[in-house]
Amino acid sequence: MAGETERLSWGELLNPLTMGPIQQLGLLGVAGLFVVPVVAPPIRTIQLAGALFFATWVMSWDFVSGYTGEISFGHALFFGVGGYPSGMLNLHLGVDPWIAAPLGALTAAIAGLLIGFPSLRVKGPYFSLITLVAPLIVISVFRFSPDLTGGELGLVSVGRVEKLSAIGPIPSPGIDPFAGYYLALAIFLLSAVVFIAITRADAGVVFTAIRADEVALAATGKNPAKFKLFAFVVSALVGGFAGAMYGHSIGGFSPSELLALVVSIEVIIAAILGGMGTITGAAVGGIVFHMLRVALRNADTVSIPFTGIEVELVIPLLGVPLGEIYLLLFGLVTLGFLFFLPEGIVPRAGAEWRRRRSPEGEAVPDGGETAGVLAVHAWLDELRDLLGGDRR
Amino acid sequence: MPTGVGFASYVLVLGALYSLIAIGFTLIFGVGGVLNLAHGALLAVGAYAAVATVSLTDSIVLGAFAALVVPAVASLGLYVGMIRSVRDNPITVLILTLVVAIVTEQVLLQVFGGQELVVRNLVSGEFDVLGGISRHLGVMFVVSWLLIGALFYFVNETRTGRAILATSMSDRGAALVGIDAERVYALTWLLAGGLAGIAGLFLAEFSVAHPFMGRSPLILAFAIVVVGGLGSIRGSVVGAYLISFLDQAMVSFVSERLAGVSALVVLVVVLLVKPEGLFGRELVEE
Amino acid sequence: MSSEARTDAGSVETDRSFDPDDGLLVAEDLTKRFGGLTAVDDLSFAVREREILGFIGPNGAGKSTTFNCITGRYPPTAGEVYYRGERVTGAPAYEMVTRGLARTFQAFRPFEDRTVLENVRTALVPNELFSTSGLRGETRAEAIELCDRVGLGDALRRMPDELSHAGMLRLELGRAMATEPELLLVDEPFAGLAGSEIEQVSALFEELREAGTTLIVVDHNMRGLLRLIDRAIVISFGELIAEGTPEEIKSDPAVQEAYLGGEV
Repeated sequence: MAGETERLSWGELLNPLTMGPIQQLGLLGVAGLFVVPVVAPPIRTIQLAGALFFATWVMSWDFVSGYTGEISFGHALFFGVGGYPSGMLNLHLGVDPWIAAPLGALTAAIAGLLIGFPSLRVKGPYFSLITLVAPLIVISVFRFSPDLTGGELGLVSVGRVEKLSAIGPIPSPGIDPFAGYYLALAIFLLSAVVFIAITRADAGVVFTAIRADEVALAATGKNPAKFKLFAFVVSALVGGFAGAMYGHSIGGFSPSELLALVVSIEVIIAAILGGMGTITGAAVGGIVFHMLRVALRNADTVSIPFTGIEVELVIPLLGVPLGEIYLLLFGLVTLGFLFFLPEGIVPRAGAEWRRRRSPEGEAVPDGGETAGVLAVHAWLDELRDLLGGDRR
Repeated sequence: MPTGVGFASYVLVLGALYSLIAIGFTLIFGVGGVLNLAHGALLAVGAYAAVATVSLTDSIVLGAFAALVVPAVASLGLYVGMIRSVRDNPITVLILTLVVAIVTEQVLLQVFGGQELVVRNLVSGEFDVLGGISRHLGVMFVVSWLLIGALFYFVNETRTGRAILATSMSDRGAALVGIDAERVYALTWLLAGGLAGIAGLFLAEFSVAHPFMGRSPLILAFAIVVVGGLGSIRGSVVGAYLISFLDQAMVSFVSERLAGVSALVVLVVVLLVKPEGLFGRELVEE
Repeated sequence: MSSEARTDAGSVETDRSFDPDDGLLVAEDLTKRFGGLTAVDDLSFAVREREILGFIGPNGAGKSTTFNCITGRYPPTAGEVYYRGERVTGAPAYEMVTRGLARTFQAFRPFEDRTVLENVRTALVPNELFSTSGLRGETRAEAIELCDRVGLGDALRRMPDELSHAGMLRLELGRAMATEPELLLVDEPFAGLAGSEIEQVSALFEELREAGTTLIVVDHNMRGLLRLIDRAIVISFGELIAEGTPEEIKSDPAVQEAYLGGEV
């Protein structure tokens, strides 16, 4: 097999011209992201900036849960534990946001370590329950000291937190779409590079091996605990940094934006829809999910083209407007995905493309069709066992 | 928040209420091996059934009766209609019951509106005991414990109750001694629904009724059941009182704003130290 | 331990005490209890360098438990384990591998989500957070060579669930060998193999020994084993009942009794 044992140089590996078509498409997409503020109306730019922050969070979730199989139901913990200290440092102590944000990220990294430890001891679903509860505890603690944290409403009720001046001084008291967007894009790309680099390197192989069979992995000389903690710390670091940056730019510091269960769940849904265990799927899923959600939330009616008819978006029988139960609908769609399209959109699209290009059916070395979803199935199996599936 | 007697009475009553909720939850799990996420919604159904009945008939007794019967029948209907066919797949049950819960809440919302309803106390006035305990709290406490006691006796002493125990261990084994597992499951769901309904009525009396009132009790019940041990009635009661006590202590002596935290913290601690809970699975042998 | 000293050939002394340096791997008074059940009871033995040692016993005798304790899957309840003279009792699995002790699993545990080649490559990945050994193809050649050695050269692109029973065993061996062990512990390799396959695998073990690896082969079926091994230890109900050459073992009455008419 000629070329099987040849070693690639970095130049060959990263040359855009020799990359596969999917990768090239991705690069084109990234290039497209750069020109958005120029071609789109400001409101869209801001929305897309929000989507980029959200996608960063989704990638951070996928990095842990999609790869190692430790399913976190409360990843918002890291966004909040990264964001709030940064906001509070600035608000109460006047620390510059550019310094406060990394400090917040460090706090989040510590939280990552703390959450990582239970994953070493406790079985899958039980660990997930712990991750579910942790942010709720933090929210309660925040409610306890509203002078420090602003309680339910967030820091805005305590005072004004300084916004970042990303590319230059922000001209108006409001949000500068350009600066905010490019900040979001920078963070998104930086995070993507970090996550992709780590998961495509050997660590990624070990992560997925943890998901597949931790005992067997240990038998090959790797320390599973080390890698699990690493995954959590890096995920928390990036997620926390993004949380802080988000609060200091286009968003704010409040439980509903940074800590709420809804945020954690939306992150999971976006990752599953985009494709677990890929990072790129998470990125796409995050952006698409956010934009869809924004569209649904703001749309009361849909106008059918050419007819001038406006249809009210309401669920029949219940009379509930679509915007209120979008989460339920998304949840149902996700469940459908889990059962019928488990690998998510991005890997499925990739596999379809590959199939069309090489009909001989080359085996995908990383088991592309089941990457990530194995984590879910393994988790579900553990849950089934816990619920007594085999008692009878 | 009053001290001493008031504190104790709150703990005792809430503990009893949460026991009722948790027992129903753990019964379905212990016997059927599935988690019923619609359990919380049944609380609301019970409360509103009572409210509707009282406003129609002006009889409190009938209202209480409705709170018991309507959710019980609804629960049974849920089992027979949907759950029975997917019983062997606990994940599907989880999802189905979650959807049912949400739909139920939405229906209640549409029919009764979203405002919080104050439910008239079952009995008014105070007992002349220990400096005056409000009567309705006393009634709630007594009735709850009567139910708990009856349940305990039922499960351990009566034939049908023992049938439930047997089925919880193995429905094939139970079948071998002539127990119809299907009947047992149906009975369990019926019972759980009734318990949830009464608890819902009491809870509504204790605070208010609104369509989403079942959510935090469900989370609390979940925590209690994990702490006490999935499938253990004893564990549910112990866990309920433990958490009720801790929660009230937090709220009274530290800060009102820390309501609910202690339950979560205890949950995390238990999960880290002994995930099977205090009593393991009494209804099921490992 | 209640066994008295026996006087026939292949006798077992009650007082078996070993120095940590008595062999590459030394187990001393190893005991493992699970609740009320004692799976391994006061077991002591030493493995000499470059030998092929057989670890034989009927099903449920405690063979796998012994080796789970030694290889770090779980710690023993009591007793000590020494590797190269150093105390390694209770050391976790990955550390034992780093020290030079590798194992295969009786119930095969391949990584189901990757090909045969990727399985072996995963074993080659170093225990470091930041390493890119595979990204540019460095370990690919090594992985292919390993697969060839264990006879999986044609199956590189297959998924584990497409492999035959013998193929899965080879994969287990390939992964274990990827860690370049000094001491390789093979857990019940011959179960389910046809005669020719047993010969092939035995030949592979001999090759490994020639190349300097010490082997412990665990099995309950003596037939395939006795020709391969230099020495054997027999255990039953967690206790050592015989030790010696294959001939000595075959004629040992305690061994025959333990197998109760089974294949000896």
